[in-house]
Amino acid sequence: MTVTASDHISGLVLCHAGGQRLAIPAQEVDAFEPAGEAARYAGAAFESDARAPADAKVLRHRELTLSVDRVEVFATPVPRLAVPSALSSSWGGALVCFVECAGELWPVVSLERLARGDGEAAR
Amino acid sequence: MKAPLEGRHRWLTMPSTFAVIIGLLLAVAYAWVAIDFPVGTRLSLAVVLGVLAGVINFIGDGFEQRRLMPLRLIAEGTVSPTRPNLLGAARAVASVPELSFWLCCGFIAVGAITTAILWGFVAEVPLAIMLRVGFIGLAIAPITATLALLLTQRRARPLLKEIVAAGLPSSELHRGLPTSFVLRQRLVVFAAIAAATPLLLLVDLALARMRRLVDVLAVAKTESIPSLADQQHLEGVWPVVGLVALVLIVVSVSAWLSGSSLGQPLRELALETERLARGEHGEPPFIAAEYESLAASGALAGIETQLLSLLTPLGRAASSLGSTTHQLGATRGSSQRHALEAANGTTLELARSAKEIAASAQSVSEFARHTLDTAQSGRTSAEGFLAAMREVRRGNQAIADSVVRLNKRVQQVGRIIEFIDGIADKSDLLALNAELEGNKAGEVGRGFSLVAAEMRRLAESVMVSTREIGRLIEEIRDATNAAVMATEAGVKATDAGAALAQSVGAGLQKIVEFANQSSDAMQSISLATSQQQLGTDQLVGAMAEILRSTEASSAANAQMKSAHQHLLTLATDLKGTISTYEVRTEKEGAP
Amino acid sequence: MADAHGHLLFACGSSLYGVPADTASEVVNVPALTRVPGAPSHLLGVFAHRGEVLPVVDLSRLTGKPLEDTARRAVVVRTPRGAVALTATRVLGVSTLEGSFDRLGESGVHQHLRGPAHAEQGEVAVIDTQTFVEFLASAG
Repeated sequence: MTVTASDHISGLVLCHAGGQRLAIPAQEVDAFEPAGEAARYAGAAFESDARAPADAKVLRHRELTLSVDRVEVFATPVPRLAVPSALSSSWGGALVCFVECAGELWPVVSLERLARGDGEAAR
Repeated sequence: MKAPLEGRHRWLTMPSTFAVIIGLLLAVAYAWVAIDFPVGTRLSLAVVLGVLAGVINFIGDGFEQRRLMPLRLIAEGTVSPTRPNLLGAARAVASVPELSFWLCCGFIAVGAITTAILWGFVAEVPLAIMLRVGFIGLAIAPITATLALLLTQRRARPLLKEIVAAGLPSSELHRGLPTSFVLRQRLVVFAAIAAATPLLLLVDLALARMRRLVDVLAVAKTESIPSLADQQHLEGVWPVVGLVALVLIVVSVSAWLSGSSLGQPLRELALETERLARGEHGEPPFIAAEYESLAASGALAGIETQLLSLLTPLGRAASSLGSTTHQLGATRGSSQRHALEAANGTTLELARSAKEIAASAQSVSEFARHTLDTAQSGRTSAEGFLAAMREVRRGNQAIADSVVRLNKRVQQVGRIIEFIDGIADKSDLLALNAELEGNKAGEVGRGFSLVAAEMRRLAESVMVSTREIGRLIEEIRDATNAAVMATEAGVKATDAGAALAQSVGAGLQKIVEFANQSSDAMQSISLATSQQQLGTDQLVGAMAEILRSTEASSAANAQMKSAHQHLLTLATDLKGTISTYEVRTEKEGAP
Repeated sequence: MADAHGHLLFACGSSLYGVPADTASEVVNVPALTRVPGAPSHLLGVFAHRGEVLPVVDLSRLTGKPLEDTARRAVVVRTPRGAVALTATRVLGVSTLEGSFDRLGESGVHQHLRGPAHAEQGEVAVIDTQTFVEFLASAG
């Protein structure tokens, strides 16, 4: 069980990509950008052949860009739920925790870790 | 083949013998009751009576047979059945009933007296008793004779008809039979006999019984008188009652016979008159009768014969008149007449062609009307079809509605089943976990696990059932969907049919209108031509009239004369015939 | 391997599996799952259960015999290394097994399956839950 610094997390960007859900800590999002060719599509993390739609939103964190179908910001603090051991290394260990928002379970992905994972993979 | 009239002479006289036997029985029965025979005399009386009756009947029958000799000769084939011979036989037959009467009357009276005298001498009976025996014979004789007359008459009538059938014309028979108007006398005599016979016998009986009572009382002791009277009274009642009944029966039978003998020919006469009144005349049938009835029958036969003889010359006269008129018409002559004839021919031709046109127009009109009728009936059929289609459509719609309702219900059931399935699923899960927990608790939880396992099985069987029901519901849903589609298709088809029928009806309506118009047109043509025809007919009539007047002036006088002569002869002929008819009816109609 | 408390048997597709009853915490109905980005295909998703996120593992995909339709039930297995839910097309209940409990293979998931063991219902592959969960963590 992954134990994090705080029991709660506040400020999440709730994203929809390829019909699936993922949440990104708000503080990791530097900017929302219009769709660009270079951006990585979050939907492909669920289905490898998924393609970003034309009106996709792009989230920037430093060098990393991630495109999703649509976004909304969720400000209320919600309890962190631990990532099961079986999933600890998923998406290059970018999975931080799970939260329950609006009656649904969301996986929380750290762009920071994702960028790091990419860097590790590139090495 | 049996000869005609064979054995009829014996057959005819049998009733008189029968009547004599009846009379004899009546007399004997009466004597036995009414007379106090001295001891030992009854047997001698019976012997004497039997012998004498046999002898007398034999003699009487001999008389009758002698009278019937002509009939017997024909029956035995000694003489041929020619008309005179048959007429002789018929006369004999007709006279036999009366003969029987007198013979019976006479011979029974004579026989009674002879019996009384003979018996008186043989048995040495007192004179009073002899007289009484004779009296009984005399009293019985008339009624016996009447019975013989009536019975013989009943046989004589059919026999006369047989003679007619054997070849004697009824008119000849009527003429040959003597007519006597004595019915009234006969009826008076018969009434007297019918009343007097029982009266005489009863008076005699009463006197005899009184005499016997007096005799008994004369020798009786004073104190035994009441009982003796009673005894006498009791002794005499039943024989007397029987006797009276017997006499009454004989008299009643005689009365009935007499009535029917009078009524029968009258009924036949009435029927024959009715037939004549209807105009069905032919050879008159013979109605056998006596006295006045016979006369009436003869008169009727005469009327019929005269009518027949009148019809023949009338027919001849009519045909003569026809040929004469024809001769008159055949006379033609001058050139003027020829011209007129030509004109007449033309007008006739015109009239004929007008008639033809009228006939054609009429037939076209008929045809148009026929078309109209057909079209109208077609339209009625189309309307009927339309109504039927609407009915079918309504039926289809009702089915569709029902199916939809059914579908809704099935869906409701499906939801319920889903609910049950959910509950069963949850139960299954709970039981499964309970089993697991029970197992973890070791021995302590064993029983708990068993119960949980049982509960699981239950829940699983419920789920199996719900799955089965779900499958069935799916099937029903498929079937009802198919039914809804089918009924929708049916509704569409009936709509199409109805539309078709409507268009057919409209088409037929147009035809009806056209046919109506054409029928009207043809009728007016027909009317016009008929009017024209009337005009030409009048023209033809006028022409014929002109022609006739021309003919009248140029007709040959000689032809007219000869025609006139013919008519005169005919008139004389007719007059003669009619006068005969009148004379004869007058003569025969008045009795 | 001892069979003190018996095994919870369940079917996944045509195969029968068994887990020691003391490691099987409960049986659940599989709810709507949340997919996890970048997760391997045998990890169907996660769901929250009693305040805990449980990953759902499809044994049929793991053994290379994918199912045609989704399983409704899952057996929750709890080990010191974590808890996982194993999909089951049918849960048969707790049974005592007989036979051998040797490794069924030397590579992949098969090295965490033991047998061939026998139950009333047929041949059973027994899952070594401890090593299995560790294997999942390394594979994920």
